[in-house]
Amino acid sequence: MSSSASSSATRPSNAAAAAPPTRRTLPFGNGHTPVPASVVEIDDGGGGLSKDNSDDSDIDDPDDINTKTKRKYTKGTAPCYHRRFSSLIKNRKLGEGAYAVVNLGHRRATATDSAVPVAIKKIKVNTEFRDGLSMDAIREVKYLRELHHPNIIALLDVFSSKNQNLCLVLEFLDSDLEMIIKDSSLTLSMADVKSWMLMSLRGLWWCHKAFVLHRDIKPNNLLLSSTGVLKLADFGLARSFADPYRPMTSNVITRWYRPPELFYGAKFYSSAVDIFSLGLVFCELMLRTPFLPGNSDLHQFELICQALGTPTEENWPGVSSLPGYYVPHVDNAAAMVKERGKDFFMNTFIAAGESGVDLLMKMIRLDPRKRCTAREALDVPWFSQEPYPTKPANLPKKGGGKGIEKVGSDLKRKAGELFNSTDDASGRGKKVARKLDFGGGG
Amino acid sequence: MSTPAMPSLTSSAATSAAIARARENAINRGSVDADEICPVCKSSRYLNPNMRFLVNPECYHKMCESCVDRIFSQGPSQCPVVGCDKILRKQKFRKQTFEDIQVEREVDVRKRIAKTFNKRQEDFPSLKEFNDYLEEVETVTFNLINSVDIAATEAKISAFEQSNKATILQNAAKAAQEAQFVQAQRDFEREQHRRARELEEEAVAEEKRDKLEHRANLLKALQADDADFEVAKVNKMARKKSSMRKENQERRAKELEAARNAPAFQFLANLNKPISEEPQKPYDPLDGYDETNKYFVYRDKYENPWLEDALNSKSMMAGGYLVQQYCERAVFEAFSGVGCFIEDPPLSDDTSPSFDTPMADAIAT
Repeated sequence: MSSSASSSATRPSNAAAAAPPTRRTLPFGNGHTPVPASVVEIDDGGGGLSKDNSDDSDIDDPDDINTKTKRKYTKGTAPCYHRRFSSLIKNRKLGEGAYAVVNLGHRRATATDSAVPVAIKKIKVNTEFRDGLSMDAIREVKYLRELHHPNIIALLDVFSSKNQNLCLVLEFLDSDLEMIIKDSSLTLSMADVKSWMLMSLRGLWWCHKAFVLHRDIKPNNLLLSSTGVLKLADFGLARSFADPYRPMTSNVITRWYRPPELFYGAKFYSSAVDIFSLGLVFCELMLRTPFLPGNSDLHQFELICQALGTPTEENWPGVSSLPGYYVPHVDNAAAMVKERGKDFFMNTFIAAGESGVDLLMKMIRLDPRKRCTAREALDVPWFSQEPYPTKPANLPKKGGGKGIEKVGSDLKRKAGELFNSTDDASGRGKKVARKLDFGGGG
Repeated sequence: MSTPAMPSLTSSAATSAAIARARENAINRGSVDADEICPVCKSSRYLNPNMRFLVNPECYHKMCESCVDRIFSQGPSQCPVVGCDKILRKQKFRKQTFEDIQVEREVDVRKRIAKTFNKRQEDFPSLKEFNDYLEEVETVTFNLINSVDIAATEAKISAFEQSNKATILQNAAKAAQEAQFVQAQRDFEREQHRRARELEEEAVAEEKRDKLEHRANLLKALQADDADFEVAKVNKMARKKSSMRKENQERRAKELEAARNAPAFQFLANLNKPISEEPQKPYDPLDGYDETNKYFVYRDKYENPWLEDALNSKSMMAGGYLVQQYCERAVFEAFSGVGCFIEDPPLSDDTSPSFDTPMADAIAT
């Protein structure tokens, strides 16, 4: 609806004034709805009424669509800052991963919409993948294009840059759950934890409903918007699942959050792996430190056995048939830990209350078949009990978006000062008289 | 016993006792030496004029900042004062507020107790019960301050904390809100004062300007041919102006007064309301999303000989693989394109958030 409305709105001006630039800068979709670009193309070309329009033929041209999409976005924050500083903030790098660089950008303001900050993820042309794109990039585009949910990061657009780099335009989210957990100045109440768990479970439920495994759930990948809404991000390891007889790699999920079946090299697993990871995030939210921080795969597995119990045929039927089945301290019966009961978790996570511990135990069961699904987890009484989940807007935040503050700190700098006094750790030159700047450079 | 002023009386009695103790201590010390020499490293203020003393609320032994840095930088450690076996942390060290350490300690204890025992009079059915509660609190405080039955008292406190968790939180929120309210009121008043002052200054400036103008006009009028007539005219104008000014001033004062009462009242009244007591909506696990499928329902079991191998494979089952998920996916994908037409616009704002076919749009194109 929205896209057809916006295109019909542009048409009169186009026909009357014959001004192609207007047409070019106005987006097809309204930008807020993450509309897959390919779908929009067809809508605009096929459903259009102005077949006779001369430049209509260009619309179907993929290059033209690409330029149009590209023109909607630009690097840097919206030019609300003084022009003098625009060069400083233009190429602000938000992060750099193994296969991509993320820059801050914004969607250009249009006649109807104001500028919106976005994150532009530019996929590196990697020597490793000379024949094509890296898998992560493909996965990310493939799944994010299909998953539209308030608790999943939105992929707004995709375009290619001039040297054929792939750029993904993602929603700009300024913090993640890891920052919150590590920020010791914040106190997290159980209502806050409940709210974050609720939002991540909803996101995960949506993924699983569309038969997509995230396979890298960790606090780092649970991003928070400025309004406090939690969103699953980083679908670089995501994969569709449930095909029988098609082995999947067991070498996924960050070690601290990896479920036992993957340590055992299971090639056929299900949505239960994501649930286990999220269960450990739940623990981390309460403890404010990783629950099982193993420093090697072996150590990690020992920690799992210590904390949850040693996997045996009794508590996990069929476990010995997994390719990598192994029991630490197999000769020492005393070192074997029985699957932990409720009292153990009640002691460790007393703050969660009885129903919270129930949920936690369902999420981190050793046997993946006994773990609850995201949908079942959403129905547990814990979420409907007091304290009620905090509203997203009231959740604790990391200093109101530290990134922007950092940009703003440039502006606080006095003229003639080379470094920010706060950045200058030693505080040297603080007392030195400033060299007077009589203009000229500016 | 019948007035709520009771506890403050007892607390002031305790404080006065502490003051008496402090005086005694000062006499015993006999000098201000204590503030000049660090009891741990014996370095004197003469050698280090910027010496600052810190205490730790664990044992309240005083030492200088450099001692704290020296001893506790590597992590928690034992108090260096002979005979004190408390383990202290650097983080907890702070500057002493009161000269007498006993007072300092009492204030700390009272702060801590006030945080837990923060019930209000309106939480109790009658004044008597409130007074009983206050007396109980005072007993607990007294016990803690004077180290009487510490274990029993601590148990009492934690029991109270456990059983009144919700009310404690609520009252803390209330107190925070009240503080905010007071702050807002103060800010508002300050703003009002500022505006009144500004108006006054403006009025004075205006009067002065008018006077000067009047004089200039008068001089000009006196030079004219028929001076009398002109002077009368100028005077009349000045009178008119001054009456207008007066009217203006009165109007502004009234406006200010009105602003002080009406809108402020509104805005402060809003602030004073308890935090959005909007009724808690019933919990919706899916946040408005509809999970029913329009065209199909999943069955509990699907017969398929091809899947028998998977069902019988121990390793597949142990890895958590679920055949049911495969069946559901197959059904789901079979119906994905149904009811989805290319000429229809894809997902847009005004479609209700229902999950019929999340992949439908992708597949349909």
